[in-house]
Amino acid sequence: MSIGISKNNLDNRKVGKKLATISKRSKKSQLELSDLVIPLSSFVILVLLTFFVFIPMVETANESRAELKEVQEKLTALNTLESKLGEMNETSLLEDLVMVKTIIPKVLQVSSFVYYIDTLAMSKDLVTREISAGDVNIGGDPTESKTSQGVSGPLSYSGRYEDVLDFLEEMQGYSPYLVTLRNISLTGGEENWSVSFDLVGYYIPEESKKLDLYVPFTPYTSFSDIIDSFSLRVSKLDE
Amino acid sequence: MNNNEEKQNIEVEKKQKKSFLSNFVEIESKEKVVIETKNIARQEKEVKKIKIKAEIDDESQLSDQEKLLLHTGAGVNLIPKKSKAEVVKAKKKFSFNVSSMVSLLLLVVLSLSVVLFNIVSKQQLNSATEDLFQKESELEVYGDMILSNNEILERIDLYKHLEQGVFSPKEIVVYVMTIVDRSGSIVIRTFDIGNDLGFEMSGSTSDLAVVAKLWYLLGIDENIDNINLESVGKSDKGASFSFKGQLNTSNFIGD
Repeated sequence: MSIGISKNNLDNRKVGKKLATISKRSKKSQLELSDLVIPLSSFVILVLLTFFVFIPMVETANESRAELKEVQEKLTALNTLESKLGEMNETSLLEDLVMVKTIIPKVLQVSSFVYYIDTLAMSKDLVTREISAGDVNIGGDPTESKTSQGVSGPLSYSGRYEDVLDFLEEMQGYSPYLVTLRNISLTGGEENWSVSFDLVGYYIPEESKKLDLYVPFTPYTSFSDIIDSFSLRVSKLDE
Repeated sequence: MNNNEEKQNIEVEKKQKKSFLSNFVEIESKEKVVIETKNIARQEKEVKKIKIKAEIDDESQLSDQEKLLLHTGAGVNLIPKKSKAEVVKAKKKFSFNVSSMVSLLLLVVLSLSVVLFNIVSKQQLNSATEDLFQKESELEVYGDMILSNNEILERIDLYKHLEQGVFSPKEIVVYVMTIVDRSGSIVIRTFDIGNDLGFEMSGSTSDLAVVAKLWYLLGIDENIDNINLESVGKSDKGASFSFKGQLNTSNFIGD
């Protein structure tokens, strides 16, 4: 009887010890504040890094990428410019520049301009009645007057009706200089007609210009019809 | 007699009690034997394993516990078996550590990715800028060509601008004179053409009817927008007139 009781007590102690160890282990396996230290601290560091490091870095990177885009566009523009320049012949470009400057020179000398007009009138058997010319700024447009100037003056000739009209037509359409006729006044008679008009010859003063590679480039060869017209006018001057 | 009978009864009861206790002890001893046999069997298995291990490896490589089990032959397993709850909780603890690792890993990966993104962006920009400078220096050789081209274009632009307002004075005079000739015998004294293709014309004829006809013909002509008879007079020598009109610009400019 006493042996059985002692056995029971021994089992109870073992069970108690087991329960104690189990409870200890269960306490150990519970979520504690120390377990949250790493995730919470990493979260706080992440937030701080985000505001003080990541956002400025991403902003800088975005600025760099925007700048990169601009640089790439400029590179594309330069590549296009290079390909267009490669298609142009430098010799013909210089020849055409000389020709174009003959028609619209950088300085239009009044004497040579008036000489050409008077020679043309003489070739049509016209008689000079009035001739004068001087430098003027062209037009009311301020931008136009900056880029181009002209030689203008009232001119008056007399002769046969057909000759007067031919003279006007040739001067307007085939003059080696770029000219416009204004305020044309014809006075008829039985035999002779007289014509008076304001003639303007244009020139573009030379200015020092800076090379800008990023201005959209258009090859002058795109306007071959105008170049041909200029070429025709220059040939008239040589005659 | 009664005393003897009572004594016998007491002895019988004692024997019965003894047999009851002995039965209880026997049951307990049987249970103990079963547990002990199980433990012994388990320990024997472990000993066998250790012996096999010892045969393979040196005895020095065994742990203290294994050596104790090897030399004692049989022992009592005092280590309690883990309950299911303990196993689950241990697993939970492990998973929580993984979440910490994941959060740290995320932090590191994010930091590295942002820094790398920044570095790569700047590197690309530097590379592109270098290319741009190189291309610019290459194209500066073509500077004269570009300036010459621009000079030609400037003159072409001026020509195109002036061409918009250019008309042929011969064409206009001839056109109006054709209408005048159709009207009858008229002598034109003056013919003025303005820049906007407005014109003034004066002349003389023998009869007012010719002036009227000329007025009519000028009025119905499709290339003349409007015509006004500014003055008309009749004398002994004939009739004089002056017209003022506007030509249709689209038909005479830009041909």
